[in-house]
Amino acid sequence: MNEGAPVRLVVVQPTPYCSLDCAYCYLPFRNDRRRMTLDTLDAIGRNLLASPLVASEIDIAWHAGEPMTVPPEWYRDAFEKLAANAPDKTLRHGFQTNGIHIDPTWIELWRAYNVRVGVSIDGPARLHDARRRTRAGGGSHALVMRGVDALRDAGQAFHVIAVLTADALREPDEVLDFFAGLGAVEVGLNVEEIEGVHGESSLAGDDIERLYKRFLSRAIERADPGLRLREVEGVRWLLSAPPEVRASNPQVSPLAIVSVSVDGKMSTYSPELLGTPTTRWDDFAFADVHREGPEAILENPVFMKLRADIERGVVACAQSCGYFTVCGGGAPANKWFELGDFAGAETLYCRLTRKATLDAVLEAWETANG
Amino acid sequence: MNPLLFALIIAGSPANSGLIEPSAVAERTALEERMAALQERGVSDAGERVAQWNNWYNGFQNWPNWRNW
Repeated sequence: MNEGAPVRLVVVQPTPYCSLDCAYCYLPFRNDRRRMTLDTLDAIGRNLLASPLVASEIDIAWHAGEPMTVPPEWYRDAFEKLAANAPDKTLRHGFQTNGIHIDPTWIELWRAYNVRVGVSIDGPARLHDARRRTRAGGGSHALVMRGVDALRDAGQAFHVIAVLTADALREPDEVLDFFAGLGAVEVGLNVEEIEGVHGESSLAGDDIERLYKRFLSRAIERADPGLRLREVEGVRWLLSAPPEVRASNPQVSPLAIVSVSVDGKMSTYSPELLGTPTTRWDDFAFADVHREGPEAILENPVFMKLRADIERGVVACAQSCGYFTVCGGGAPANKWFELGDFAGAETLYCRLTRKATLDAVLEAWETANG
Repeated sequence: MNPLLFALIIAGSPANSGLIEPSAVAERTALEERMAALQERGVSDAGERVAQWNNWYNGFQNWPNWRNW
């Protein structure tokens, strides 16, 4: 059995709970208030991070629930415990947060441990509040902007993830005006995905690829000095990357990404898979960090079947897609949630985030450069 | 991806003859050529910006696969 790629990214679910109730959320258990125990954290350090299958430098993403619903003191203990159990490894922590809990105590923690911070904002209040709602049903934009103000006041760098819906695509200047003045290091444009419990997307309609490309073209045309878009910079990066790096795809590489659920279950491939209820794939839980390391994932018979399907899907992409050499085989989670088949190829997700993105950016640059 | 599988796909080895449709190869070549042409024209000649990007994202995953988990 191939030993799989070195683990480079560990996604840890400190809690499944989220303090918002966003309309497009894929998480099935965001009312679950459980918190990861220190015993489980201890096991993550001992059995996962310290494993020889894990790279010497590791990104740890605290995600799959709102990480800031667990208090900052818990993270101090967690960071210390993980570092103590994996003394030979360099750990880089990152939060992707809804932003409504940010205050000076959190910023102090992030500074002390050099944590990378991403805030989820969908643009101006009109667009943001339409989907990113509080549990009482109100908008969350004002709450997030209070957190962003705290970050800016403290000089704390942050990036932004924005989920684009059809409404946002129809108003590129309204969205871009907002982000141009926000002060983020970079803005990443995610799309409203068909994923998990969110079974449909406003982007599944006609004309969406044209609107998406028009949105990116407009961003390049405006060239706002205060706005770096992940999608544009990513294509710039692709142009200068060697071919084998262009095609690297951790989502289809066993163990490149390992996800750990609140109760210590481990999975790999796309992080969105872990916790998805499915008897066919054992909820995508292939090992238990309390008693085994990442090698146990590779030995799990259900995982082996999944791996065969995913590799068939990569071959299907290679056979059918002109973008394969800059993608490497797509996102298994999107294949599963959209097509019901890991062995499939094209998805709405890849049509927008890969094909349309590349087309829009390359076309804009070709036009600008004669 | 399994490096062997990737190598077979890219190389189209005799053991995998027919694995890649000729049209797909042509499309890939066209995309690669467009990217190379832009690079020659200096579009990606922005070393500092690329370095900043690598620093922020650690250069581990290619761009389409980074979703800030």
